[in-house]
Amino acid sequence: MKLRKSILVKSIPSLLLGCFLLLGMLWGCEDFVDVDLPNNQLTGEVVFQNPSTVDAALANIYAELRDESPFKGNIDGMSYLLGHYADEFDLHNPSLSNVGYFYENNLLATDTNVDNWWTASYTLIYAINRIIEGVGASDTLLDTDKDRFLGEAHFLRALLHFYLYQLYGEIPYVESSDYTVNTNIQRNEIDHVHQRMVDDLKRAKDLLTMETGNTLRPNYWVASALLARTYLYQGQWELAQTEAVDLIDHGGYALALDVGEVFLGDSPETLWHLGPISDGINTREAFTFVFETTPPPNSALSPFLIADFEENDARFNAWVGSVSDGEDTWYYPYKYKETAPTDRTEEYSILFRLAEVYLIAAEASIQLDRLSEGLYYLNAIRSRAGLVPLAGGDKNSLLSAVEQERRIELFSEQGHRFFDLKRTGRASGVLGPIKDNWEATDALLPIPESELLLNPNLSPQNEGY
Amino acid sequence: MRRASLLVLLYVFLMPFCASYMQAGNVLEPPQATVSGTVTDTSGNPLAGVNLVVESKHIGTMSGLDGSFTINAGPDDVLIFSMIGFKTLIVPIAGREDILVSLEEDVTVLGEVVLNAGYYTVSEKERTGSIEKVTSVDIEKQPISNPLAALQGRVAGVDIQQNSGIAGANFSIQIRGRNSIRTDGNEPLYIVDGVPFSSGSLGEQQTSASILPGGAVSPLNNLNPTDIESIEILKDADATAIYGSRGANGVVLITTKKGKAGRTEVQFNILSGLGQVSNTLDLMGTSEYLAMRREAFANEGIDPIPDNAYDINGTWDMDRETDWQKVLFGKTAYLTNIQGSLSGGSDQTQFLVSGNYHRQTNVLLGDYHNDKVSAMANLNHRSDNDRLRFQLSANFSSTRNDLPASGLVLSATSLPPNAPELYDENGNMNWENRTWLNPLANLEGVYRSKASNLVGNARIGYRVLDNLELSANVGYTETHIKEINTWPSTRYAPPFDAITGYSSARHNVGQRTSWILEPQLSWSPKLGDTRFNALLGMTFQGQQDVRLSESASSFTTNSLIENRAAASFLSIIADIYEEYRYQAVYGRINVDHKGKYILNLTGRRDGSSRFGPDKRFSNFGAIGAAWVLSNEDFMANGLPWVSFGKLRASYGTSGNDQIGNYQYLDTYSFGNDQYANVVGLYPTRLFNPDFSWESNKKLEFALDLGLFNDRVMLNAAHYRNRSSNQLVGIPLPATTGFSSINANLDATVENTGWELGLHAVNLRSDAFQWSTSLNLTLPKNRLVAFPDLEGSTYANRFVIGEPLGITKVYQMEQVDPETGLYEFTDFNGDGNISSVEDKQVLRDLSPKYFGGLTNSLVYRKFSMDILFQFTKQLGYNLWGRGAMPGRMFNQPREVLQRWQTIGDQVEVQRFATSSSQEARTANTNHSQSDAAISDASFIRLKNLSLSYQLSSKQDNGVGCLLFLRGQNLLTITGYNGLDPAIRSNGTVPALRFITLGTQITF
Repeated sequence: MKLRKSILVKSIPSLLLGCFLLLGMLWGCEDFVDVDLPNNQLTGEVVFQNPSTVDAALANIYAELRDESPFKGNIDGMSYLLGHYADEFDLHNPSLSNVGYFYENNLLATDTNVDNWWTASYTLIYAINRIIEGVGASDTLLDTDKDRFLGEAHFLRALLHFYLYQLYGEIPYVESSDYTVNTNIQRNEIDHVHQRMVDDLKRAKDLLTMETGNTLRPNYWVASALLARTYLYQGQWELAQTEAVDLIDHGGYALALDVGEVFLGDSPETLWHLGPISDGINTREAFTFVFETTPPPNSALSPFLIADFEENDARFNAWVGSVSDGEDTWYYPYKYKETAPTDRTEEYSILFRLAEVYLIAAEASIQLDRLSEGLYYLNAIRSRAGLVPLAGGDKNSLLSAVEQERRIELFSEQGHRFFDLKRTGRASGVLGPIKDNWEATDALLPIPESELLLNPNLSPQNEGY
Repeated sequence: MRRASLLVLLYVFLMPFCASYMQAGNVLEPPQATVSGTVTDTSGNPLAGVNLVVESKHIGTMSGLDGSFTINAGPDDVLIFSMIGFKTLIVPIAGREDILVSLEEDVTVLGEVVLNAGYYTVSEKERTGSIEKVTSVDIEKQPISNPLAALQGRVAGVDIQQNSGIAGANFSIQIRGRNSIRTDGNEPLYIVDGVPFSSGSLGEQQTSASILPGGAVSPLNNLNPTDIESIEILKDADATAIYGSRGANGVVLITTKKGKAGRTEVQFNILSGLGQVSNTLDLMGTSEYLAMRREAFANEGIDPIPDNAYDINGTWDMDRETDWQKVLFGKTAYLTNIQGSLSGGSDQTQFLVSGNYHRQTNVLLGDYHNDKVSAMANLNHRSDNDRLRFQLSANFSSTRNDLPASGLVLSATSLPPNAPELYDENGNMNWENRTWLNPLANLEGVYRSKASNLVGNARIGYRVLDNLELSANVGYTETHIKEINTWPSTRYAPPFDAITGYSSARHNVGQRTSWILEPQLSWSPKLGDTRFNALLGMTFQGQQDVRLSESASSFTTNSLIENRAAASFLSIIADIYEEYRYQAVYGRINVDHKGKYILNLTGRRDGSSRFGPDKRFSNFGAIGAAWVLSNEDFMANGLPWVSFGKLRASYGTSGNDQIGNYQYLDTYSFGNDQYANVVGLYPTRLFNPDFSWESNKKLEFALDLGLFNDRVMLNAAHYRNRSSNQLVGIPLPATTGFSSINANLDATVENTGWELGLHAVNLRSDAFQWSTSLNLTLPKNRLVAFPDLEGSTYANRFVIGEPLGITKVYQMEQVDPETGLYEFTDFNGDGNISSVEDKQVLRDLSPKYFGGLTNSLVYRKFSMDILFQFTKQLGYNLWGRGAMPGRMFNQPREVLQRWQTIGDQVEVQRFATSSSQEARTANTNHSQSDAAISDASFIRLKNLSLSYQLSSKQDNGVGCLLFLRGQNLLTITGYNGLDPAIRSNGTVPALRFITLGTQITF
């Protein structure tokens, strides 16, 4: 026993020494667990100190608009799907079931595209709000840079909300990046959404340049064009007319003389188009719409649309392509023609062009009973298409003429047709007879079910779903 | 007796070789005498490596290769001989100078089983914590390629599920239930030979998700099961608290094989076998299918049959009939495993080298296989004076897995039976004028992963004093993965097949390196009848992940699709560099009084780079105690048939830091999108700098009993784990810009349960031995608290008081006899069946109980092992697919019981086409109703192993063992689906393998 004690006693000093060494090491190097940032990330603070990183943050939003938003030119973008949802396209490929649900007006609240459009839009709105907050708080950015960044951000916020409310009806207008607020956010009434959009667009106009050189980024006039469209959709004819006419008169844009030039990269009537992922790439629209074999591998333009073209409309030759097997002929949108890459990018996806502003001016003027003024703007579009100018008519017939002109001029572009039928209250009248499943409640898409599950404040679901 | 065995253990496990110290210590001793002798087994074969100690002194040695030993001991001393697998023998010298000792083999489980507890070892009899062990004996009996598969049905409290029957697919594991509300935060900590082995995948979801369920490839697939000596599972607080922040979900310790002293031994193991899917669905044949389709159109009043209903409008041959399941995933898979090893060594130095080749082909149409080559080397050395110990081990493996780019099971179970031929007359893929999606298109693309994996480990220990050892563990791991997934244009129907601009490929290259350094001091003094074990150590660990994923598209020719340089466009999916640092100090104090009362204190202070600067460090600790009843006189005298009895309890905390790196930072990342030549920056996440560890409090009570000289062993444990401060990616609505945010939620999840184990040696004679093991786990999971659950984003997923595994579904009432459509309970009475408020039925998908039953029989040279695995649970059945009867999908034959005319009272709604929105909605709701969830319990003959000892090495110099093994041979289940153990309708069910092999030793 004595022996063991002595061993024990002897070992105590070394044990204690060991303990102290170990503990000393631990307390001495707590910063061992400090690690550097990963090489692919910057802190939020750093991003807003430097104009080039803010520019990169904005560039990402444009890239996402092109690749991951409702604006994309794929078979899951608005141009294609809303074209099927209304009366622009017929679906020929039964395996595209997601397109089929749009084509058959048979959407469920669990629909993938319904969910993706919503989610992608709000994801971008978050990024936009971060820019608005970050740039606003930055003390190192120059005022000129700040104006441009904030102007573009306010414009983009209005743009995304514009389509959200067109698609889903009353939606939350999200103006903060604070998730604690946005988690339980409620749907805003249309008047509120509208007012917030007008505010954002006016702010954007204040901040953005009127220079028209860079059509890859929105400027003052693009904000103005969206503002004119917003007023038009709300029936604020006077404001819409003033805004549109101001753009036509002072924007420095001109209608392309030849309809064949409208969708080229250097078209004089382009207000804003989206740049490609890399130089030489052309639009996804061409890739999606154009086909060369029969029967159509995916979709073709509907016979209703083809029938609505007037004879000798130059746009039919320039903008509609066709394939025939000798018996039947199928048509496709041929506004964008380059399906493959070229040396330099030839065509860009256009989001705003002057022709639409002319049609806004025409419609608003007619609504204000300034029929001759309306005819002037309407005939500018008709003449350019090689059609005989309309001589006149009563208000209703002229409004019908505007609807017809918008159908032809803007077909397969960003769901214009569907939104026009909706805002004029003609959706059920036009689509009801030709689409078996059409119901009045189909004017709005369902709120994605996952959103309702996560935020009960978004309830109730839109009617009919 | 007990005291003696404790002493033996002390020597065995701590290897205190103190003879030289005694001499150096100049302590006066009685005159020394030398005793020598030989140790043999009962048949007279010499036993090498037997520990022997002189009871009264701190002197020990080991027997040599020929079983001989020499030791300094007085004539009155008592010698204690011990060796794992043999009964300890106490022999008084009684004046002899030459002693012949034979040790009796210990057939009971308990014996002197030593458990690896990670930083220390403990004997089965003295453990205070909950540790289970599966040894190579059981692992080797199964023809498997993932080590986790070896644990299925063998370990109580561990729920292991196979994700797919595809070679190389993952297993998911939960030890004592789901602790974290996050579904991805429930992985245990894996340690391979003392080196933490990250199970986080380096794969890229985009490359593998469409073929391997459960996402990207798991690094665990890189470990070779036949190299494993044992797998220990640490479950309770006493065993896991020393792993601190990483121990909450349990710890899996994997120990590779080590060399043994003795003659050099060469061993070959050769095995090959055949496998097929264990089950297919009973689908409709052509006539039934076509009748269904016609009825669907008739029900809708659609006439004539539309142009795109190719199956019944005459476009396709209506006389064709193909069993697509047989064609697409009905092939025979071949399995080959060849292993060779060389081992041996002296008392002081032992070595083992081994190599293994494993190849398994797939049941999918096409030529796909998974190959694994692995090698390991191991070296042990101890110095002459036994003060220095050194151990070096290295494991290397290289795996290659070839698979189609996407799976075939969904096609196989949904293609119309009269769908066209796969090939046209010319042997090309037949698109039948583009009227169908030929499943061969899935095979045009490939998924291929190549992974290599190195685990290196060195341990060095120096005994400064007899009972004080300074040691260090140094480890290094390196994992590489290279994945490619191609989507050539040929997977599209003409004319797109020729447009190589549509071809694309995704590449992923990942590398992970990690290192660990763990200095450690252990001290094991003894005061009277009380023995102490103290341990103090530190951990420094670093890990770096580097990963580059690229997408290449638009090729001039498909033959160059794997070459990134041939792509017109290259974009980066991810370029990731992540670093993880971890630091800790840990300790253990174990007090053992007279072998009756054992107290074990463990603790750890942890720091991890995964948390914000103010939240990095935290403390964890546990107390465990055991009372060995059978060492009390009243038991020994009163209940002599109780040979062993122990009550134990433990309580403590551990944590969970599985949240990913850098999550506390507000950062922007460079994306892969460019706009006007500017590379975009996007906000990486919603950030929260203040989140911290998930903490887990574990409580356990257990009773271990050995009856009739340990021939019957009974274990019963009750545990209660409470996880709080939940580290949750709280799901957010998209209006926040993100789908979730990481935060600590003051919610508590409780896992309670019973674990029962029984091992009995039923019969034991020289010729015949029969033993049975049974384990049973009765788990219960409950969400105890969740502040403001109703207002949170989890409101529709969880219910307080219910398990986390619940899902809320509609309640199917009936098929409306009038309309022929499914009807559901309208809980909120608003006239609509809508998602939130009408999904009021709770179904718990976690297992009610599970376990395994093993019988081992040995008759002379024959031996047989039978393992049954069983689980009681619910699962999504075939209705969960949501494929509507009547559309262009084949269906299980039970849809024939559908509604046909008004008044029918049936279970299946009327056949309908996609143009009926009501039918589609009803069908979608049905797939999310209680009708889509049904019993998925099963009893599976998991493993049957027969072997015959043709020749024994002892007798003939060459050992030869022949064996026949079967895996997943039989499944008894009422499950309506492919495989109740996988519970998925989208992937290959578990394969039934039969293998034949031989083991040759010389």
